[in-house]
Amino acid sequence: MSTFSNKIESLPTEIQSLVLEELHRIASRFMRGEQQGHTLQATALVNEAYLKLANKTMHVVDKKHFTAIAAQQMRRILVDHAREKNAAKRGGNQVKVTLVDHHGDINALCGHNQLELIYIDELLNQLATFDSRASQIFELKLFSMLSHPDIAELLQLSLATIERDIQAAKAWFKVQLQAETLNSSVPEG
Amino acid sequence: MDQQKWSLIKDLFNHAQTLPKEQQRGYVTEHSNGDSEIIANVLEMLGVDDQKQSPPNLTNIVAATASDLLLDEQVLRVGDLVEHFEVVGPIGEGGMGSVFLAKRKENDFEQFVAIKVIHRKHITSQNVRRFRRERQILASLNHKNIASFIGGGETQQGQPYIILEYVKGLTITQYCQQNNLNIELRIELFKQVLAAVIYAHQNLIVHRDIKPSNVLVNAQGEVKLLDFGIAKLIQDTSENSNTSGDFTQEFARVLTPANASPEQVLGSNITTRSDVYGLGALLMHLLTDEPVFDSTDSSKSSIESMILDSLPVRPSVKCMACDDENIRSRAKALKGDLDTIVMKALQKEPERRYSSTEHLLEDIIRHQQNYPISAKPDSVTYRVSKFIQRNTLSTLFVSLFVVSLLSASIIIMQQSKVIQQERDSAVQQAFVAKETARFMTNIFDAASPNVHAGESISVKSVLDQAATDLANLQNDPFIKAQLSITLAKVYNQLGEYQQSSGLIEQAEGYVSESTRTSVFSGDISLKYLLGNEKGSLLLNTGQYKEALQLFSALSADLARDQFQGLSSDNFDLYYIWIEHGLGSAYSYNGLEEKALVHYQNSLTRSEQVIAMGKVHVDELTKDLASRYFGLGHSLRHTGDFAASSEVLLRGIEIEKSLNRPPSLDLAHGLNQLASTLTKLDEFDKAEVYALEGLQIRRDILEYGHIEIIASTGMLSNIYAKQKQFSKSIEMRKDMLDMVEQALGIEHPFYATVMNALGKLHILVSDYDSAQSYLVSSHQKFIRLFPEGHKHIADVLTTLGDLALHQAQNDEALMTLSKALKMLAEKAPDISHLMAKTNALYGIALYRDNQGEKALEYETKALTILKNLYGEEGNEYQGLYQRIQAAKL
Repeated sequence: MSTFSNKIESLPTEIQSLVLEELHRIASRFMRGEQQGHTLQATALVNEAYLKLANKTMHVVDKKHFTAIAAQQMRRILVDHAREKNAAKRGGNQVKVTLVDHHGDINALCGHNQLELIYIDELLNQLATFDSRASQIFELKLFSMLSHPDIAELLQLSLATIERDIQAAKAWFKVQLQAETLNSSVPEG
Repeated sequence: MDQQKWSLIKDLFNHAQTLPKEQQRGYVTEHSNGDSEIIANVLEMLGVDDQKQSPPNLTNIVAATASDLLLDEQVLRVGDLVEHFEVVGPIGEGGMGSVFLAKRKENDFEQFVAIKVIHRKHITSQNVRRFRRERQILASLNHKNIASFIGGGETQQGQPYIILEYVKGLTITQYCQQNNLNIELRIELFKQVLAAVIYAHQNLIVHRDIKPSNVLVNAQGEVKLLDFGIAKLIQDTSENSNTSGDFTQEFARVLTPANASPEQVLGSNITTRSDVYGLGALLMHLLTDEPVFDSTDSSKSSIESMILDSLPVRPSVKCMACDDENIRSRAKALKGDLDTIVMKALQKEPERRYSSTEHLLEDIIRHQQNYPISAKPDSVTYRVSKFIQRNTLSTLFVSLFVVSLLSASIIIMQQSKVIQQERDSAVQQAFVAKETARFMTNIFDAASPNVHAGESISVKSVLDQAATDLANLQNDPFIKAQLSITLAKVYNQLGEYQQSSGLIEQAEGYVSESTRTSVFSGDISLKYLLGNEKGSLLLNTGQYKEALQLFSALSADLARDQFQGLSSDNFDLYYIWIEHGLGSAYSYNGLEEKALVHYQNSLTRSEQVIAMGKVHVDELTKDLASRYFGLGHSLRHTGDFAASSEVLLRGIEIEKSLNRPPSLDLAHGLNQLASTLTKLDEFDKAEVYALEGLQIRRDILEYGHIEIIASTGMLSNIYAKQKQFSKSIEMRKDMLDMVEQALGIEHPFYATVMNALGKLHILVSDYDSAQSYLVSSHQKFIRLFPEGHKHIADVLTTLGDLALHQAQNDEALMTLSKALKMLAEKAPDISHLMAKTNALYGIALYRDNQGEKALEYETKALTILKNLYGEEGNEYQGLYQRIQAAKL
């Protein structure tokens, strides 16, 4: 297993394309089940993620490790986007929302998703304060959509551990999302 | 939350989950030490699923956000209103923005427009500035071949937009292909593009991104130039001053690299000539249906290096290489003017392109009206600068030396393999192979596209770079030695003797370093590779004695090394090389009898090895014709013209059967055959072969190359034999110029040519000129060769001949007897020279009334001549009649 630390841009072409390919895969997983005609847009997302990655020193142990980094990156891109969008829409005002009808048609949720995503991000951060492992595992699950066995292999943990952490994290998230009166203000920054 | 508490909660939750619902509460309460907070938490986590209200699906939220982010790229949506226009849908995506189709409906009138906007995420103050500039530029342009500007502004959200004429049509390349336009019509379309660009230039605007996708053709066949997105006002200094750095960087992303001009790739100054390049590239695409450089499988950096370093393939050649019969048939029409026009527009250096788009248009019109165009083909332009011309070589040559380079490394590897088996060091071989391959690959990376397309290429610049790289290479001396030798070989073949010599010296250094320090052990191979190359260089630079010494020493070494770890395959190869080298060296030293033996050895062994199908078969087959040529050469010089002619023809046959492009080897063989045929008095045939040889050499080599000199000499000889003396003298003089320029006046050839000129001037009775050539020649030979050398005897004989013509009989007697004495010291000599000297001496004696003594020489001369040419030949008859005349 080779370890190297490099700016993506200065990596050999084949590795660069591997990186792109991987990001593209991740992006299209997000798009699955969405409307058609997203190829271009998926590419745009990939490029966006890639450019951010490329500008920072990255430590790639192997493809799986890269996937983890990409997941983090994807999380950042999406959360940043959600924040921007929220700020733009609401003119920066804090706003109260209710998260009630959030099942069903995703398209109907447009507008809420940004807030929810910001909240998910917040919860991941919270979870990390008392269970960083579970937080990392759950981040991978959400943002890279790796399978549980892949996550286990990536983190060198048993599959059972991964399953348990995900179950617990999921349950905790749900409790937080529900128990929250959701009348509180959306965290900023 | 507390970590420890969470840890407990998690454990309880995980375990409880495995239990049936009804047992969960009991289990949790029992195992939580009565901590009500923990119990509540765990039950809550367990209980969420029971609730009727579904919790949010987290993954869906993420996906929805991603989708939202993507959709957000589109700043306009169907139905949005921009001014009076309603957005119908997206048309295209660019690097920075999108273009939407929109329409305005008024009464029965429907107007379609294109609205261009920047992606929201690209809205930076700089981009907005740029976008406004485009708007400003477009607003100032009003031309039927430029998509017209309708309006622009900013939406309420501060989103800048431009409204343009909507061009419904195809890109110009698609249009040409779909309508299967002929070349004339394609050029007509191109002239419309030119008109648009000329107009823009007149308004001080450089487009900077001319490419097929920015040139549309509508249903009426009208060209519309689009996308002034990166256009620039020529005198717009503001952006050059403080933001030029950003600007260049921005281009790096915005420009389609495949269409960029060299100066755009380099980020240097952009002028109207950058558009000339873009137009040249577009014209190339229109004429050949292919872009200048194929960028499909290339990375950005490799496209950039192509743009900077590779010479484009001429349109006609590009078409010729095409699979499509229809495109191939265009080649003929493109050859000449259109090739030249495109190539001039695509010059790497802006100053060598058309100075303006108007000039480009002029040349196109001139071409259409069959006037001579202003641009000159490269080859002519290049001739102006000797140095640059030197760098330009045809592909024929490139392919040749690729082969020689590769075979050198195979030989080395073969040797390393033997050693590897002996010393069990597999790593070594792999490493040598890898390093060699890598270096070779680097050399030819730049060259390869052209090799395939059959186009001229700047080989020497590639080589020079390789030589520099080599000097700086941090690598084992063994590998460096090998690479130096290989490069030296290439330079040697190119006639760049100085560089070759430098590299040989360098290689010698590496070889001795290698024996001391290297971890590799292919020293034996290195010695022979180096020796062979050095010997060949010595021969090419006229150091015949040194060459003979070197090959003799190598030969002795080889006999010893045969039992010292040299593989038998390599032994054979080196033997063949050295014997051939000895043949050449003896031949150049005037010892043809000896040369014959060695040439024969080389040929015989070559054929044996090839017949046995051993390791170096390819290498040997490639050179087999040369072995025949060497032998044929010696056979001629030893007077066996029939055999010589047969052997040379066989060699030419072999060479032609290899189906490679006409090579220098072939030219050599043709020249040799021409020479032999002259001896057989078959001048007309000889002329044909000599001309074929000269043509090949001229195609491959530059003016003044030693082999062109040799071919010229041959033809001069033939013309002399055909009694076309003035033509012959012309060629000799040309030859003398070339020798002086390429080899210097100290090269033995120089004196040889002067000797020949002397002979020719005797034939046209210009004795004064003859005298001055011959005396200079004689003086040079004396300086260059040891006393009694054949060349000295030759020029003395000619001087004697001159004296006879000038009726200076005493002078003739003296000179000729000196020549005879020199020749007599040689081995039994039945050469033409011997005959001629004897004959002339005889003539001088007859004139001196020493009939008895004269008869002796007459007999000797005529016997040799009869043996060589028969009694019917011109050679015999000419001298015979002169002798008879002297008797009177």
